[in-house]
Amino acid sequence: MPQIKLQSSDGESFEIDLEVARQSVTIKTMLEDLGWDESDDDPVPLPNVNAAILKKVVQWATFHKDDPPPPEDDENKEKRTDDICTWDAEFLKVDQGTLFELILAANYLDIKGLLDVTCKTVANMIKGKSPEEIRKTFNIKNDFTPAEEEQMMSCNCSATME
Amino acid sequence: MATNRRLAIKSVLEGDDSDYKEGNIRLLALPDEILENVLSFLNFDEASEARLVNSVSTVLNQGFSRVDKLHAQIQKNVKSQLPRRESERRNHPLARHVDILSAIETRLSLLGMTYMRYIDMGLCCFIPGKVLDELFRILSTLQKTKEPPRAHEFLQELRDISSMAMEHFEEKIAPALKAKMPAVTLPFPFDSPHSPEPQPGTSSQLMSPVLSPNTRARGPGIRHEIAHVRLQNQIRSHSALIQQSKKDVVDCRNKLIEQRKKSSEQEKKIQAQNKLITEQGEIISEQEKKINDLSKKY
Repeated sequence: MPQIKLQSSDGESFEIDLEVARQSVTIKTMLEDLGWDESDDDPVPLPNVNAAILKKVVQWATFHKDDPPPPEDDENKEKRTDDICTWDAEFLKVDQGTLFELILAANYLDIKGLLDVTCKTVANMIKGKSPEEIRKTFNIKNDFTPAEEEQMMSCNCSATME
Repeated sequence: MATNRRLAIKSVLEGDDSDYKEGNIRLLALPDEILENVLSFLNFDEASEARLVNSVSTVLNQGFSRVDKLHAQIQKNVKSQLPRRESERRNHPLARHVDILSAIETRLSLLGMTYMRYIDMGLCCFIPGKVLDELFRILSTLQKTKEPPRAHEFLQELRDISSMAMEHFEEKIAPALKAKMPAVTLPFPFDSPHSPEPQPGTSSQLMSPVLSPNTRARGPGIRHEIAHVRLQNQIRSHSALIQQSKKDVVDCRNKLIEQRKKSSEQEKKIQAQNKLITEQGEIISEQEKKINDLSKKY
């Protein structure tokens, strides 16, 4: 199995299976464009991903290396968030900072499966919560004036209408 | 797409945001594109609850245009399968689809009229997420089923919640938004002699001099309405003036044509007279010649 070296923003190298690395569309495109072959020993620099996050991304990609390619999004179809597999749910039991960094890394590396599951996790953290609870969950400062707050509440009543 | 994403991340990672440098990223510090991706996993009702981020407004506004587009697409598809004769359409298996789609079209127009003005001005977003969810539910059911229920029962929930949302918006939210609307400025002041109420000052002061303190106290919304009515009156009087002027111009043009005709007739007469004078002159000169010859002889 051919191997490839990835280098994190803080200089750490990860040697992984080429097939695992090719789950990232960014890396896959780069290798195709540059005409990479197995004899190349130079690591692929990933200046936007640090070692800790890259380690997690590699862990996720290794577990999911045999998954079929994720289906294309249908924007008019309601997306489910209750279909996160047990392994992913355990894998994503991390602090919010790490979760958001994983989202950024998945977005940068263009790994749709990882991006979807991380975004679903955040969506599940928002679901069923009031604006105040959402603010608390994500530590968002309420910078609305009382008048704006009142208008927001009135808008929310209109939106809920129950 | 991926390049944009990368650029977005790069700009954030290389930017001044200390949250990123310290590895302490917060939800709202994520790029809008990612927030929109997160929100795409919520239904519109849930998304509208989280209306504390700009991305939510974008998601809701996009939701409204998406539902509008989806409706147009289904309607086009259904219409293409219908017979051309009106009488045959009524008994066609897709007749109920048509009824439902046209009722939805009316709802969408009403919703658009209620919200779009304010959305275009950036004063609010498409607030009722629940209405969007219901619209998507109806349209997706309509796409799947060959025999939908009657329009009246099928659209009852949509009618109820959209009417409630629009009433609530008009009564509770729109007045506050109207107050935030920018003042009316016009390209030129309507202070011509024909104006019923000549106004001094610049165009931006258009409404202020003629409003009573009482009217002013009622807020910019009322002032706006009054100015609107007055402008309409002014426009009406200007239109009447323009009509009168147009009529005058037509009269003048007719007179001019008549004059030209007369003048050309006169010219012809003059030419005939000139010809006659020349002929007379020739006869006279001939007579003179004859007289001269006779006087020489005798």
